[in-house]
Amino acid sequence: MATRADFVQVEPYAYEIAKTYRADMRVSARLYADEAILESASHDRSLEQLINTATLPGVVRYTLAMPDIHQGYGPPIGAVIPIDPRNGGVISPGATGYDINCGVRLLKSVLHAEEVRPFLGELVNALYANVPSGMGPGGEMHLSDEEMDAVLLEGARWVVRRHLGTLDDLEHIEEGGTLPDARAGAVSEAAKKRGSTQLGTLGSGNHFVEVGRIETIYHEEAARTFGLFPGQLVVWIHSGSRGLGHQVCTDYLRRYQGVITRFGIVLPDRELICAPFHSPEGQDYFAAMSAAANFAWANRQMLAERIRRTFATILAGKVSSHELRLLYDVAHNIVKRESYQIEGTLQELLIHRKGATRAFGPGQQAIPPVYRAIGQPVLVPGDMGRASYVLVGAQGAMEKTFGSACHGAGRAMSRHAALKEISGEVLQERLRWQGIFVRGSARGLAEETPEAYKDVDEMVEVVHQSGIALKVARTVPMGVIKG
Amino acid sequence: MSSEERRENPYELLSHTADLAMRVYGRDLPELFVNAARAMFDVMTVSPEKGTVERHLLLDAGDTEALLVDWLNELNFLHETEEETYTQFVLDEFTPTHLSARVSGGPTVEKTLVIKAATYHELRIVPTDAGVEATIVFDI
Repeated sequence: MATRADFVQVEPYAYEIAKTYRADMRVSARLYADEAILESASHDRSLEQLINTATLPGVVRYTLAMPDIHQGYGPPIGAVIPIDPRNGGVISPGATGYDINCGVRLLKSVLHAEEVRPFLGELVNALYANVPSGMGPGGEMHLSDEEMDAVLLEGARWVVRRHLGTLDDLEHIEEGGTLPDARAGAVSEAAKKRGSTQLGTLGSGNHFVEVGRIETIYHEEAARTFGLFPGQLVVWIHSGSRGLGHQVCTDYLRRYQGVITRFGIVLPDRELICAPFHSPEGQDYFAAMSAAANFAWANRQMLAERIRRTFATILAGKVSSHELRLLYDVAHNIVKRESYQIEGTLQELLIHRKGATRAFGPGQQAIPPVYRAIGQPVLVPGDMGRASYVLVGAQGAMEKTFGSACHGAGRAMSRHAALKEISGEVLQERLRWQGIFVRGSARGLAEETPEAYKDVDEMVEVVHQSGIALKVARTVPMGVIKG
Repeated sequence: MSSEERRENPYELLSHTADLAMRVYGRDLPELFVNAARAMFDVMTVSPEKGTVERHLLLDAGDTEALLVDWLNELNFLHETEEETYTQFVLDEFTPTHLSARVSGGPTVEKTLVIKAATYHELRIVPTDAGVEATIVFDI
C-alpha cells in the first residue's frame, strides 16, 4: 500500500506519486493536502484508489484528489480524472458514481439572519414538513412517461417552465441546469421508474437543507459581486439525482461488464469499469449520465421552490422580505467536456469529478456573465455543527486542477461508528444549546454528527493557499433538516 | 470467525469510512447468495411479520461476482420501486452465471438505510474451509 514516503511534495500544499510507482499507471497522481491530511489519507484505501485512477486509458497529465479525499469505491471521493477522449480514451460510470450530479445550491436572502431567529423553530419545522426527505419512496408528484423524458432532456428548465422558479435561477446554475448531450432513450425504464416519484425530494444520507448565517467575509470584492454580506441569511441545499441516477450507474456498470474485454481494457478495480468515449457504449453512457444530471438539477430546482414557498408561508408579514435568490448551483459527481492546455495545445477533455466541484477562475465563458470577471462561486458545505464556505474559483484551478476544487469536509468516521458514538436525540439537544435547530430521523442525525466529518476549515485552507479557489464567506448553521 | 459462528451470523459489517462494507458467508454459492440478500435487507429494513407477496427473478451474468451484484441490485430495485421487503429467498436454478429465484415478503414496514447500489469495488468471492465468503461494498 502507498505510504507518505512514496509521495514527493511538489507545491507547498500538493504531493505527487510518480507513475513509476506502479507498472499500470499511465500518469502520476497528485493530492492537494497538508501533511496531516496526507498522513490521514494513508491510513485507509484512499491513496490506493487515487493511484488506480491513473491507470484509466486516455488519462492525461496527472490524476488528482482534493483535500477532502476519503475512501470510496472505485476512485476515492474527492477525485478529478482528466481524460483525452481521442484514441480510445474512456468514460467511466464507476468513476462518476451512483449519485450522478449530486450537488449543492445556495440561496441568499436580503435579510439579516437575526431577523428570522424568533421564527427559526417554526421555519425549520415547516421545512421538515414541506420538503420530502428520508427513506420513504418519494414525494407526492408522479411523473408520466412524457414528463419524465422532458425532465431528462431539459433539467431545471422544465421546472421553471412550470412556473416553479425564474429565468434568473437558470442563469445561476452550472450549465444553466441543462446538459445538452442528454438522451432520454439512453436511460432504462427501470431508472425512470425508480425516479418517477422522487422529483423534489431530498433523500437521506448526507443530503440536507440548512438555514445559515454568514459569519465572516474574507473577500470584499467577490462578496459584493455575489451579493453576500455579514450576518446575511442563506439556505444550503444538498441533493442529487436520487434513485434515477443510482439506477443509471448500476445499468451501465452491468452493461460494461460484458464489453470491457472486447476493448482490451485491464483495470485494477472492476468498479472503475469504462468504455472508449467514442464507442456506442461510451456515447450511450454519456447521454444517460447527462440525462441523470438534468434530473438532479430539476430536483434541486423543485426543492428550492418548496423552500421558497415555506419561507413565504412562515415569514410573510413578519419580516421585510422572504425572497430567496439563487447564488449558484454546482455539481460534484459528473463528467464534463472542458478544454485545457495540454502540452501547449488547447484540448477538449472529459473531466470526471467524483466528489469535487467545478471551480472556474475569472474570464471563463461558462461562468454566468455577472460572475465572469471574478470567477464562479464554489460552494463547499461542511457539517451541521460547524461551518460551510463560499469560495471563488481562481486561476490556479485552471492551471493545476482542471478547474476543480474540494466539495466538502470529507468523512472521518464511518456511519456505523457514528451511530455508536452518539444518539440522534442527544445530538439534537446538544446542537439546540449551540443555537442550531435540527430536524431529522434519529438515525440519520447520528450518522451525520459533526464529529463524523473532518474540519472543513482545514480543507478550505489548503484550497485557498494553493490558489485553486479563494475564501469569500464562511457560513454557520442555524437550522438543519436531514433525511 | 468459527464455522459455528458463521452459521449463527452469516455476515459481519466491516469498517468503511463513507459507505457500507460487509463479509458474507455460505456453505456453498447458493447459500452465500441467500445470505447476502438477507444481510442486505437486514441492514436496510425491519422485516415484515409475514410474507404476502412473491416475485420471480431470472438473471444471467458473465461471472459469479457480477451475478451476485446483479442479484443484490435487482432485489434493491424491487424493494425500492414496489415498496416491499423480502425475507424468503428460494433459488430454483443456480449455476455460477445464472439463477432463477422466487423471493417473498411483504410491504416495507420500516426502512433503516437507503442502499444506492451494491458495487463491484474489491468484490471477491473466495473459497474457505467452511464454504465460501464474499466481501461486498455498498454505496449508501
